Amino acid sequence: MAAIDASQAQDFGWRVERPAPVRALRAISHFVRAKPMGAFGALMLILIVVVAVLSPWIARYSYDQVNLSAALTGPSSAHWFGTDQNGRDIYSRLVYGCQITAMVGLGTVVLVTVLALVVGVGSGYFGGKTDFVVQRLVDIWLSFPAIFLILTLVAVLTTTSGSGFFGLGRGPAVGPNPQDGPWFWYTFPRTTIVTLALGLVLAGGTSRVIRGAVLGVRANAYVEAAEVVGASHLRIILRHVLPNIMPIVIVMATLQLGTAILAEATISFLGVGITNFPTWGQMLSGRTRDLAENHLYMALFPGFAIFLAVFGFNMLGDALRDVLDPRLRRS
Amino acid sequence: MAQYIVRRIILMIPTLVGVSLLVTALLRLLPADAVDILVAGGEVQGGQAAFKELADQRLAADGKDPAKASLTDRARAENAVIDQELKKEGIDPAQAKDSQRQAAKNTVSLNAYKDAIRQRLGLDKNYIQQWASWAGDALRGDLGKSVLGGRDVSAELKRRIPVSMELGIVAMLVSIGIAVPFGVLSAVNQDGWMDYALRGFAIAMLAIPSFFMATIIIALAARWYSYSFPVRYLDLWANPAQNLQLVLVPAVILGVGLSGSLLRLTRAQMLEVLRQDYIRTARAKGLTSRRVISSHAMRNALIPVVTVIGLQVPVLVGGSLVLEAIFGIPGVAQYLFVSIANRDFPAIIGVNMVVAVMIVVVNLLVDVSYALLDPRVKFA
Repeated sequence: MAAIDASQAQDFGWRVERPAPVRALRAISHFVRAKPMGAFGALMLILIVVVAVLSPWIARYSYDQVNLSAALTGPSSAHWFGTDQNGRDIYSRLVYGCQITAMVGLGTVVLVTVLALVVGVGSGYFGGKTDFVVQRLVDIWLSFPAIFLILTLVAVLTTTSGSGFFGLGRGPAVGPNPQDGPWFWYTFPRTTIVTLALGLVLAGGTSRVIRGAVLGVRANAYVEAAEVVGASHLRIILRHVLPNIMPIVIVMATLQLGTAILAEATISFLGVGITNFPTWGQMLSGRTRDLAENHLYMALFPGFAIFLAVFGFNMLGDALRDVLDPRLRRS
Repeated sequence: MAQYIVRRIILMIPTLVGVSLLVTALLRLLPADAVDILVAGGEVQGGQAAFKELADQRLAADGKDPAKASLTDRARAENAVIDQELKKEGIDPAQAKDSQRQAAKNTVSLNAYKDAIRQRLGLDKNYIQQWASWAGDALRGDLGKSVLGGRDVSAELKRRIPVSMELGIVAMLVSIGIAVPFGVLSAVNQDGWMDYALRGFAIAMLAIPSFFMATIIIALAARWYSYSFPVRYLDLWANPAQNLQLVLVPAVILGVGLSGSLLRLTRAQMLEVLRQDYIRTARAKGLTSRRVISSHAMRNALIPVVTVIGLQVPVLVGGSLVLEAIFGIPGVAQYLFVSIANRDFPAIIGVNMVVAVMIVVVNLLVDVSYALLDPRVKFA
C-alpha cells in the first residue's frame, strides 16, 4: 500500500507525527505562551548557569580586587553597580556569586532528590513495619527548624583546624581566574559543606511527599499485576513506580532550588558558610546594613538578585506542577 | 479520641529520644582537634584554674586541706606537679632550667584545661554514656553550662523564651491579619484585578529574603526620617513603649513574609469551598452574599488554615533567627546564633533540643485541633 502523506492523513483527521525537534520547539513555545511566568523562571535558571560558567569572562574585575580610592562610589560606567567599602566592583562580585548560587543550588537539589527518592520510595514501596520505622525517623528529621539545623551542621563541620572535615569546604586559595584552569575546580570544594548540610536537612520534607506519591502508585492494579507475573522489586520500582512519580519529583526539585538558594543566602548573610568567596547573601551582610543608609545600591543589587532567582524558581515550579500533574494543583 | 491522643503522646517519646540522640551526636561529629578550638581564647584563664585544681588535688593527696594550705605547702605541691611533667618529658627536674619549668607548667595546665572541657562535654565517655548523662540532666531541667562564661544554659533559655514568644506571637497575628481577609477577598474576586494583585503579592513575599527587607527598611528609615532603631532591648513589662519600638518592625517583617503562603492557602481553600453544593444551596435560598461567605464558606475553608498556622511555627522560629540577629533582640534564635559563632556546644545542643520539643508538641496540638475542628476527620 502506498504511504499516506501528511495532507491525506489530515483529511482523515489522523494526528501527524512531526520530527522530534519541531515537536520540542512547539512544546516549548506552548509552555511559554501558557505559562509566561514559568518561562521567566526557566530563563532565570539558564541565565544563572550561563553567567556562572562564563563568570571569569563576564566579570569586569576580579572578585577580590581592592581599590580603596574608588571605595563606595555609586553606579557609574567604570563600576556598573557601584563599589563596596573596599572599592570592590559589586557587578563583578555578583557575577562571581552566580558560581556559588549555581553550584549550591543544583548540588543541593541533586542531593535532596537522591536522598528523598531512596528514603521515600523505600518507605512507601515496602510499607508495613519498614514504613513505620522510617517515618518515625523522618519525624525526627523534621523536628527542627531547617535553618537551625543547617546552621548548626555547617558550624560543626567547619569547626576544624588544619585539614578540615575530611578535607571538605576548603578549596585552593587561588583562583578562579581564567588562566588558573576551570573555575569549578576552585569553587566546588568551597561549597561542599554548605551543599551537604542543605541537602541533608531539606531532603526530609521531600521524602515524605515522595512516599505519599509512591503509596498512591502502589495501590494501582498494574503494580499488583507486575507482582503476580513475578517481576522483581527492583524492576517494579524502576519500570512502574519511578516513571509515575517523576512529575512530582521534578516539581519538588524545582521548588527546592528556590528554597536552597534562599537558605544559602541566609546562612551567608549570617556569616556562616562560604566565607572565602563572594556570595549574594554575604554581600548584604556585615557593614552593608550600616552603609546602606547612604549607599543603598550596595544592598539593592544583591538583594534583587536573590529575589529574582528565588521568585523565578518558585514560578517555574508552580508552572511545571500545572503542566505535569494537574492533580497536584491544589496542594 | 482520647485513645488517639494517648497513642500520639506515646509516639512522641521515641521521636524525642531520637532528637536528643541526634543533637548530642553533634559533639561526636567534631574532628578530634576541635577541643583545641574550644580552648582557644580561654587558655590563660582556664589553664590557671586547671593548674590550681591540679595543685589542690596534690595537696588533698598529701592529706592537707587545699582551702587552708599554707603558701609554702601550695608552692611545694605546684612544684611536684611540674616535676612530674618534666619527668614525663625525660628531663631531670633537679637540672631543669627555669624556661623548661615554665614550659612544663604551661603544658600541664593546658592539658588539664582541655581534659576539663572534654569532661564537661562528656567526650571522655563513650557516646551512649555521654547521651545518658546528658539526657538525665536534661530531664531534671539542667541543660549544662555554657563553655564560655560558664552560665547555665537552662537559665539563659528561660530568660530568652518569652522574648522570642513575643516576637513570634506578634508576627503570627500580623500574618493572619493579612492572609485571612485578603485570601478570602482574592478568592471571592477570582481572576479579577484584585485577585491578580494579591496573588502577585503572595508570591513575591515567598521570595523576598527577610534580611533584604530588614536592611532596606533600616536604611530608608535612617535616610528619610533620620530614625534609628533602639539598640538596647528592654523587657515588655518594664518599658512597653521602647520594647514595642524594637519588636514591632521585625515582627511585621516576619509576619508579612509568612503571610504569602498562608494567603495562597486561604485562597485555594476558599475556592474549593465556594464550588460546593451547600454554597449553591445557601445562595439559592436567598441569603446575602456576605452571609454565605462569612458563615458558610469561611468557616469551612479556615479549618486547614488553622492547622497550617500551627505548621508554620518551625518556619517562624527559623525566620526569627535572622531578624533577632539583625535587630539585636535577645531571643532564643539569637542565643543559638551567638553560641554557634563561639562554638558553644552545650548551648547549641540545648537550644536545638528545646526548639525540637516545642515543635513536636505543636505538631501534636495541630493534629488534635484538626480532629476537633473537622468532624469528618477519622483517627487512624
